[in-house]
Amino acid sequence: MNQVMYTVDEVSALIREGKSLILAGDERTLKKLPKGNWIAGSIPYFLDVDGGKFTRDHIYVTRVPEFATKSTVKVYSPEGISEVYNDAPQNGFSFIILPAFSSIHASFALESPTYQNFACSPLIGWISGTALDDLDYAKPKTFDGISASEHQNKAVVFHVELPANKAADIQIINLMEQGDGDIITFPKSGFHASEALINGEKMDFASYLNDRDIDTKLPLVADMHGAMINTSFQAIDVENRRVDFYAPVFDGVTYKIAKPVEHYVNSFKERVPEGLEESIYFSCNCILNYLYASLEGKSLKKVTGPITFGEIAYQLLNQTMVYMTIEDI
Amino acid sequence: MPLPNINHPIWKELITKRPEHQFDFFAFKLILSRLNMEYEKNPSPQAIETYARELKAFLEKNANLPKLQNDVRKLFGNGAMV
Repeated sequence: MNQVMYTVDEVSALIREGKSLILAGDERTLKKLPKGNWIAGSIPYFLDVDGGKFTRDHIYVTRVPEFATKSTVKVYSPEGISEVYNDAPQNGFSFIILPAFSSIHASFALESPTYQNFACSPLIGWISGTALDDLDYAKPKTFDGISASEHQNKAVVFHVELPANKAADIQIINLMEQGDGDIITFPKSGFHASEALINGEKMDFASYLNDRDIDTKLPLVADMHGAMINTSFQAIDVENRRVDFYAPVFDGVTYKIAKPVEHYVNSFKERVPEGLEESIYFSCNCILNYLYASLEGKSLKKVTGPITFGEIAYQLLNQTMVYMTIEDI
Repeated sequence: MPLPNINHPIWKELITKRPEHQFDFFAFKLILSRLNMEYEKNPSPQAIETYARELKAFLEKNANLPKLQNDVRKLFGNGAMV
């Protein structure tokens, strides 16, 4: 069983040894790390081998593979993030962390599918966050170890080149499927909506959800050639006719409310392939899955990783487990 | 056999219709969906050619990935290579 959670002293020692690391931890813990070849994002929730846990003391460590032929840390501003696919290695992967509720988070969410060379190289990562009790005052952060700086509106990326006989493969596990209900489209893309077209008829979307008593733990689901892509509900404000989402809805995409999920945890376990924990390089899972499945103290077949405010598999996802394997080819 | 030339009708079919095949490679599903949406907004012949070039370039750039090779075989037959 591989150790994934480390103390500050242990991580500091790895950094001083020159290891290249991708880290997740509480902001106060990450601030104690020395300069080095690492990137990090703030979050205090994790899936450890023995189950979900909240800790401000330990750091989740993913090592850049020893067989990588080159690895480079790059920090992106909102103006430069559209270059992330252009900067990706010819063969390898890029690991990205963005801070939640920032303009770079919003712009990546809305625009990444239109970046030049979108999806031409594996891009995996997550959206950093805070303890849920700290949301009113704490800001999600990213960190780059090269300058040992923290960022509230910059993405940190590790571009990792692999030898020609290795390839990275990104997959998702999504419990959600489109339900049998109304067809929902939106007149414009964005993180919030006031109106939607319900079966082609323009409606006040907040009232629509409220009047039908729709369970907003169930996300909107788009079927993208068989890939189920969620957009999770953040808040419904009937008075002000506003619905907020954790990821944008897109003009031109057809959504349906997800089918109800029975036995959330068991359904998740059933979808995790047997033996995945042995072949997985990295995975992360959504804070909403952590909450709705009550994952604290529960193991998902020993798959580990940070619990996140958004998952990235080429583009921003919601309420999804994302993982990457590195295969011999 | 290399991928068909950009003028081959299969590229337009991929951009304008939902193929019957179930694809395996996650990124392929995403990019195909995005190009389908772009087509809905701009179905001009010039735009379709741009989308087709982007799709062909995507397949060529990911040519070493076994899952994508499976998807390419579903579309173009066993002899197709990227």
